[in-house]
Amino acid sequence: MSVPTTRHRVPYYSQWESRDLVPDFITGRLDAADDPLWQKSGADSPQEYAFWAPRMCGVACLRMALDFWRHPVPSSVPLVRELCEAGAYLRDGDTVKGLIYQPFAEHVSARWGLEAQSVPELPATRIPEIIASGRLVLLSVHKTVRTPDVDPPSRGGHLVLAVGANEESVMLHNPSGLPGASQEFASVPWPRLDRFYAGRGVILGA
Amino acid sequence: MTPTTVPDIATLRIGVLCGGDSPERPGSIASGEHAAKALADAGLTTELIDIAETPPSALADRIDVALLGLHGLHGEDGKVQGALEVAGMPYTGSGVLASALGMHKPTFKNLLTFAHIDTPHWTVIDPNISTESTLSVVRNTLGYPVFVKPSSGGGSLAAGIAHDEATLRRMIEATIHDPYSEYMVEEYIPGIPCTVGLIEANGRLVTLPVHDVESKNAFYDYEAKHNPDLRIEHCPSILPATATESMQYIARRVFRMIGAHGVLRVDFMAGANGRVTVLECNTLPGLSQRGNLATMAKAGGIPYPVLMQHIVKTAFTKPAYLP
Repeated sequence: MSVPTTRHRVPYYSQWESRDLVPDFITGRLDAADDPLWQKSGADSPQEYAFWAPRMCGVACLRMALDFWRHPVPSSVPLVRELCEAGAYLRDGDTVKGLIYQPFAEHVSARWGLEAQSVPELPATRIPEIIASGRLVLLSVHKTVRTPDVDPPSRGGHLVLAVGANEESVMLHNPSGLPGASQEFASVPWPRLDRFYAGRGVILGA
Repeated sequence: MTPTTVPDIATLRIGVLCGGDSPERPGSIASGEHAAKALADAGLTTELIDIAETPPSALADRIDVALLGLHGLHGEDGKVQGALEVAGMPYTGSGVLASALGMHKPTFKNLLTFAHIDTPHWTVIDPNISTESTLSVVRNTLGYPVFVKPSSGGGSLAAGIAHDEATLRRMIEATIHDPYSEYMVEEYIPGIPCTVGLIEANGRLVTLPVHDVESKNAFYDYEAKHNPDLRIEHCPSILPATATESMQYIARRVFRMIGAHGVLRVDFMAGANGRVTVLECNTLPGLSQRGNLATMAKAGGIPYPVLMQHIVKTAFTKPAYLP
């Protein structure tokens, strides 16, 4: 397969407001409610922010895409609320089901006029061509893709944004990536991606 | 697309506008003749009108709607559309702004670049800049071979490849005497020329199957476009589905980007390395029955007479104000 080399200059957004503190949040050394920048999320309280921050990978990916296509970028928690109303997240007490691709895609199309397509079966071999056409792809991967050399226990469950591709690897913006290592343009070799990737996602285009 | 009541076109006098003084006049007349015949055969009241003889301002009492079969300068570039707007005459396809953007390639390519859509690198031949400077730009930013074409021309008229600096120098110097006022030099992408048509039908935008062509000439030039013996066409394209799906997406994106209306054709080059790059767009694609648009429509299940009627209806689905 001939793979065109593409690298879109997509701005990066972490799912936590303090992107430098991601290692502390994911290891539990720091509660997200203590994120000094929590108010930037638009949440009404640190607790509201702390509830949503670990679940906002899809929101962060959407914010990156909106910025890339020069749409105004909403704050993360108001965007979550909007997506809840659209049925893309279903909250039941402290449990959240989502991101649910189809209502998410429908809302993104209706709200911003983007082409959004939920793709339950998306082979990795299609990704380079999609990216080369100017589109971005939300990929369902295991959250440990931030350290791609370590085998994950399973596939899927966390959303990252594919922003580039070449013959050897895919380039990811990972909303829960590690600063300086796996947040922006994190290069994951295709054979390694197969260990993390659940084979589904959402294609976004302007 | 704005939901609009489209009148029964059987009650209308349809003027098929063609000809004019564009260098693409012959192609335009062929478009017009085919379209007029198809509409007349369908029982519609149709008149073929050469705008070189009848200006848009003289159409008001003669027709109810103008089907534009015009190509190139003073037809596809927004000027006739503006005249028809002023005359209050409904017309098919895009408005003034989209027509102008689609026609002027450097502006169109700037928009593509701004929107992160791949298009071959280029530079404009500016008559105020010395030939030596232009050659230096080409040498240092594009490399050879390069493709020389008019900034606002269509149909590959007056276009050609320069494989070296001496040839390019001759071509630049020759541009001074050609009918187009501005030329550009573009990175030459070897590959398969492809095109994607978009047509508004029954209130929605339909993306037609991709059309590709293998040219027996050095490139898909005016001669190859108008001589079937010099090309092999495939529609739907034989390229991989990933490539054709990308082109269809990009075509829709171009449609939205320039604010096109009703119908559009976007031309691509599919490079051997997997690169898909946009060459240009046509807000008034050729309407002849054997042309690319009709071929794509047929492959998409839209017979030629029906295609022409869809196009006529686009005159009545524009927003109240179209820039």
